[in-house]
Amino acid sequence: MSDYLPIEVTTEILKRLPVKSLLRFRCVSKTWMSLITTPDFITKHLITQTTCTPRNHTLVRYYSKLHRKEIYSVHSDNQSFDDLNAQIEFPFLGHSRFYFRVVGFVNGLLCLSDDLFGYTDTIVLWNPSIRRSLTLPIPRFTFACSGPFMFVLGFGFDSKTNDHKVVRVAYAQGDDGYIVPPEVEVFTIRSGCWRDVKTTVPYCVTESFWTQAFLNGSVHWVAYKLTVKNKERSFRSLIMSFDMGSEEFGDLRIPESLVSMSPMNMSAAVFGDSLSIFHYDKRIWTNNCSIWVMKEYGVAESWSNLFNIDLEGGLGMVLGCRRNGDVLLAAKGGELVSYNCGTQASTNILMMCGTKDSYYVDSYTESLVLLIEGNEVVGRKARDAMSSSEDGFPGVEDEGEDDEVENTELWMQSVIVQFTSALLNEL
Amino acid sequence: MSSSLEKNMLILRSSDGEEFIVPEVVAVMSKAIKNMVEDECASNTIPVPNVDANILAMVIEFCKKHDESEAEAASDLKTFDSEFVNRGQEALYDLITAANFRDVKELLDALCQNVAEMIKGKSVHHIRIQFLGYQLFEILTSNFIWNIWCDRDFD
Repeated sequence: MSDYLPIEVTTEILKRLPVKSLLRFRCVSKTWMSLITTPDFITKHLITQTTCTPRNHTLVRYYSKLHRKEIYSVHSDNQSFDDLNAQIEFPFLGHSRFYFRVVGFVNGLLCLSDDLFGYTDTIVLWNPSIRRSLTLPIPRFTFACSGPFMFVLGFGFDSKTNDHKVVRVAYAQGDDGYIVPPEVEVFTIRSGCWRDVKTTVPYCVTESFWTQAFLNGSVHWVAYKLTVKNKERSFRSLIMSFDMGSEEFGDLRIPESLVSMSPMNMSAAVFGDSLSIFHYDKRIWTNNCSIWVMKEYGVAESWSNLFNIDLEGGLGMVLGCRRNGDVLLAAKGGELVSYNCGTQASTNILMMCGTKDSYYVDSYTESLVLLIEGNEVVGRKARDAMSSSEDGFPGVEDEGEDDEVENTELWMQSVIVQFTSALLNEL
Repeated sequence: MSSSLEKNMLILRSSDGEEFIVPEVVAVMSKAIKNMVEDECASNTIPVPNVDANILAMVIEFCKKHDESEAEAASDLKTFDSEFVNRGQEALYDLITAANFRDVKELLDALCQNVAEMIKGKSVHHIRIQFLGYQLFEILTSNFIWNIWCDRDFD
């Protein structure tokens, strides 16, 4: 075009481009550079991409026993579940044991927490599509200042301020279980720091087994309310929500048949586009899972039991739903499985040697979030080259490691199961 | 003059003086014209400066199609849009300017989408020379440092 376009038209054009093109086009001119790296443009681009582009890619994460690291890859959600040749380099070093917990994946941004294999306060936000990350500062409420505690995290987007937030709900351990109301802190990317939020929410979340479901601007967790009357403990399960905009807690009723079930056996999730609960018969060595969805958000009467999956044949954990309606599951042997609920047939789609509990699946999107605030992350290749020159990167000769992951997972889980059951049922 | 016109028709006059009689519903797809009509400062012919007859005819064609086909299948309209915007760079530029200046949202959306598709996979140099009309001289001088920075690998 022979003449210059007005800046608002250039914005209109650029916001429709994929992330990769935009990273490249930063060097077209200084005008384009400064346009692409404004928070305003990044938000516009995010909104265009999330509303206009079809969600047909799937992000998969698992811990590979063979490579002894977390593997992240992107697949197209079609019949063959093609690998898009897009294995993402996992850039983080120095986590406590095997792999991070994936708190959530929102707008192309992963929130990872290193709390599965011990007490750490490491939380990172990572945008794999632009290879940028942000390590969160240490929250105020920690073991060092408050003694034993447990926490849950929520990660989501506040569409009023166009900012991403992490909420940390920490429960100090008292003489008689966990203390409510919890200590709540919120981190926002724009501010770059934690800030206290006062609350009186009386609900508690199950330690370590929690999962989040970010939907309708709120984060949701399966929670319970414990009441003690004449030394008799009783609980009722429910869904606790946290509105990312107003920063207030709320609750949602769960299906009547689940209210008296142990919250430990339930996971909150987004299934299709609905809030859902995966209810297992038990947490370890599960035999079946029933999938419930809240068809109309906020309407307790709309809960319906979509289907039950028999897990005795080697399937392990429900991960999510595909575009064709199939369910993705992690098998006990560590493969990724696609399960057809009509025919009850399951097909292995990823013959990976992973561990069942390390799987995480979500629909994949790309964005420019963290382009300004984040730090460029060094690829694994460069880092491996550095570390191998120092101490020689350990090969696969140490055979014992394979079982170690699963043994540790199992050990951690059984400790928490015992502790939580004691808490709920009283010994 | 409006008295001789059928009801709900407007006259648009292009920058080179040609006049187009269009239904009001079509004309007000341009937000700029809509504002003029609502403010009742459009009793006579509405001048459309900066837009020549050729381009104005195209814009009207686009708006007419979108007005008629509101009930039609969205996919048909999409096909029409993608064919409509498939033009040479000069015409595209003039259309974008007209759509932006007259505030015709649907047209601007379709045009910007088309340009985005065009430039998506292109190299930085291609964008500079073909799309922004940079001169080689400019690239060599003012952007010298910039070019060194660009040679980094982002993929």
